[in-house]
Amino acid sequence: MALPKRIIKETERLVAEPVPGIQAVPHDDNLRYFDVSIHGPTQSPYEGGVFKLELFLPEDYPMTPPKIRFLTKIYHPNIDRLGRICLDVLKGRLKRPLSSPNQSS
Amino acid sequence: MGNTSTKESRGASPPPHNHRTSRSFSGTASSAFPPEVERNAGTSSLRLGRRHRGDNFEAALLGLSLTHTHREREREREREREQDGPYKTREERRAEKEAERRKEREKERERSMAEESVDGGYLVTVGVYTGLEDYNLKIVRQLQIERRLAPFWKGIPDHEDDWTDAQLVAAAHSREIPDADAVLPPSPTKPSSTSEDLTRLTVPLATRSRSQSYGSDASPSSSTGRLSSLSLSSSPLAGFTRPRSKTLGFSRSSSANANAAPVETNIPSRTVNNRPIEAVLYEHASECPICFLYYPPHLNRTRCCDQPICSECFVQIKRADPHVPEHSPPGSPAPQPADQDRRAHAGDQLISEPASCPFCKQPEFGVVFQPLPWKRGLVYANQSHPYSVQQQSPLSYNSTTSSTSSLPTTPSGGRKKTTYAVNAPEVITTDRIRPDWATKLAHAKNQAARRAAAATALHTAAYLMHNINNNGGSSSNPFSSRRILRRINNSSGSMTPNGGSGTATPAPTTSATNIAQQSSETPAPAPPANAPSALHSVLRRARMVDLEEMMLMEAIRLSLAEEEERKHKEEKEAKAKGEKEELDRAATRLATSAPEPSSMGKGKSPAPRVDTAVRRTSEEQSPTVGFGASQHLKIHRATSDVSSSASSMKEPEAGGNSEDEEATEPMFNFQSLAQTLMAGEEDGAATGKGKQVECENGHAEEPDTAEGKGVSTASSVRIGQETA
Repeated sequence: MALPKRIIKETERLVAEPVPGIQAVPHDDNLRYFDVSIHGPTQSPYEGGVFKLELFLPEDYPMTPPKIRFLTKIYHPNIDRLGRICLDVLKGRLKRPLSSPNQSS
Repeated sequence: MGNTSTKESRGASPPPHNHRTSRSFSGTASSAFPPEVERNAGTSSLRLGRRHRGDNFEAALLGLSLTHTHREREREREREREQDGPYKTREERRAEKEAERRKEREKERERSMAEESVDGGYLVTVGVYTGLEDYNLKIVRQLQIERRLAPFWKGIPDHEDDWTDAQLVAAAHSREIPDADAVLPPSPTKPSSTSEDLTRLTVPLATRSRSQSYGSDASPSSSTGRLSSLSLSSSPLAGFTRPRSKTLGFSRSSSANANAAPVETNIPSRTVNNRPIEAVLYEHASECPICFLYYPPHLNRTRCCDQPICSECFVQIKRADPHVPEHSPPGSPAPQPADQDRRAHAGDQLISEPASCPFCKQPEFGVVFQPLPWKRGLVYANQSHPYSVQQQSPLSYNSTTSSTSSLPTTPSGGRKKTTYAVNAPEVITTDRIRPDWATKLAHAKNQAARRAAAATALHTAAYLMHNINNNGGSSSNPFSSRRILRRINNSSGSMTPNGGSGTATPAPTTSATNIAQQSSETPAPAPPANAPSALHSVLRRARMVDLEEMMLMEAIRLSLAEEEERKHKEEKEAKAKGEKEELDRAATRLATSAPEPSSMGKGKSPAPRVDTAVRRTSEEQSPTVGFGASQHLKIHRATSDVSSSASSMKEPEAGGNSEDEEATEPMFNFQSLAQTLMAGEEDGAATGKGKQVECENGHAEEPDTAEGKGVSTASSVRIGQETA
């Protein structure tokens, strides 16, 4: 099935105005799959580090959260040995779909 | 779950010889248990993977422990096989039905999109989400026709505020956006059409709805055809070559909900104020913040924070699956070690929280839909709006404002932000369109409770098995298992008549035999005797005990008992070897002493004859002993005193054998098992003894053997009584 409009739009936005310190590049063959790299924030123990992650938008995104995992080893209380992240917005069913920031109303 | 269990049950269901091979773990084939029991053990261990168990599992269990003839068991197995049969096909049928339903749904969707519309939107999802439609289709449809929920408008990927009507229409139809100066090609907006519109809207509506209600149920298809042709011919729009001219056709819901639902009528116009309905709808389109598509600005609004949400996204939002309440804040590590236990204990605590708002996370998500100021497409005849938000009838509104240009104002513009309570009549909650959540929750709770009960049973069983095991291993305290089991027996109050004798009978024998023998004898008969009653106590205490686990226990127990037997048999065989040697020695002694008594008696050629007779005795003795050994543990007590002559050894053995059987017989809870076991054994013993008697007859002159013969005949008589 064609890529949902939401993913296209979000990708466009991501490319147009990337979040500082975070890069996300979709794969050419699968636009749901992203290579992500995060730069360790300044004044944090992770400063200077570059952490690679993989991100996948499941079939029923945005009703289910994206799947994301650290590929780089990281010492963090919410990240396990396999790089899985423990975060409520990444769990279970949609609790809070990201809403469009340019929504006027 | 269903799949794996089916496979397993499929694997298990076929023929019984499978069961035999599956039992290879249980050691040598010469077990004392009759084949039926063996097979039952096999089935029980094989059946473990099955989820769907019925009464006959309990019956099977009880059948093991209570009286149960071979035939009954056979029948039972037949029943099970029969039950397996439809089960398999049920799975397949379900899959087929699912596929069929999907196909039908697809067809229905196409039909509905072609024929039905509500205010320019559809009554079926347009395909933003591809997953399963698990909401209640009828309810959603009804709500949309009642204008209480926004119809499934088509979301357009892009939108510009300055698009012309032509561009809007093209966008709404997923066509390429034409240039701004393009005219609306197929929809001529004639100035005169307003009045025609009105007449068409007002006058034929009544007749249509009536004819609809008359000719409805008997032949929906024919009435549809007739009416659509009628509306086509009577409509001034008939000449329009619009791509969706089919929507002019009169349509109604398929026959499924026709009876219950109010009569639906159609307002087939595709124009509002002489403009195409798409242009009007999408002129001030707004973006759904979840799917990022542009929709008419009349979207549902969340009851809590007044955010827009399209119907297609709304029907996707639902309760999370039933789960254990999270004590820790959400975000605790996913695989918890104690999860299993916790789930076992928290079977009843499963909760299913209502969906919360995706925007403000307020619980009990619900939306409110403000109906459009006009109505097109399907409406319910004679339906006053369930809540009178809108006072004007759509037609009057249309007629009064049709001449003005201010019609397509966005309602959100002049609207004040309001919040609604959950139970407000306007609010449509996610539970409303999924009324089955309660049954789902109950189902999950049931399943959890069953699992918990199974875990409890397994723990109890493990406890019991542990004790039995310990006892079997340790010869220092042979009575411990018995005590435990007796305690269980008493506490459960399920005193079988056997329970008492099972514990009482060994007492007198202890005096005759030494402790080591007692201890080696104890475990093998004890588990078959007492473990089932322990099982019963478990069964009684926990009503919801999972039979599957019980079957597992039974299988473990059987294999354990068998292992014990195997050990005993080895012991006996070793002992029997010793006995045989002694017997040979005794025979030679007899042979040498034979001439002396023969001179007293008949004495023609006494020496060779006695010699052969004794040799026969010894020859026959060895198979008898061998047989007895293979029959496990029945000889031990008498064989303790083997130092005397061959004949004195033979007879008490036979006597001891039957005595032993008498002692152990009541200990068996499985009467059928005990009976078949004993029958087989006695057959063997009787034939052996018969031969012995025969050969002893040859020795009639010997006082020793004469006495022995008396005993042996007595014992064979006793055996005859028992078998009878």
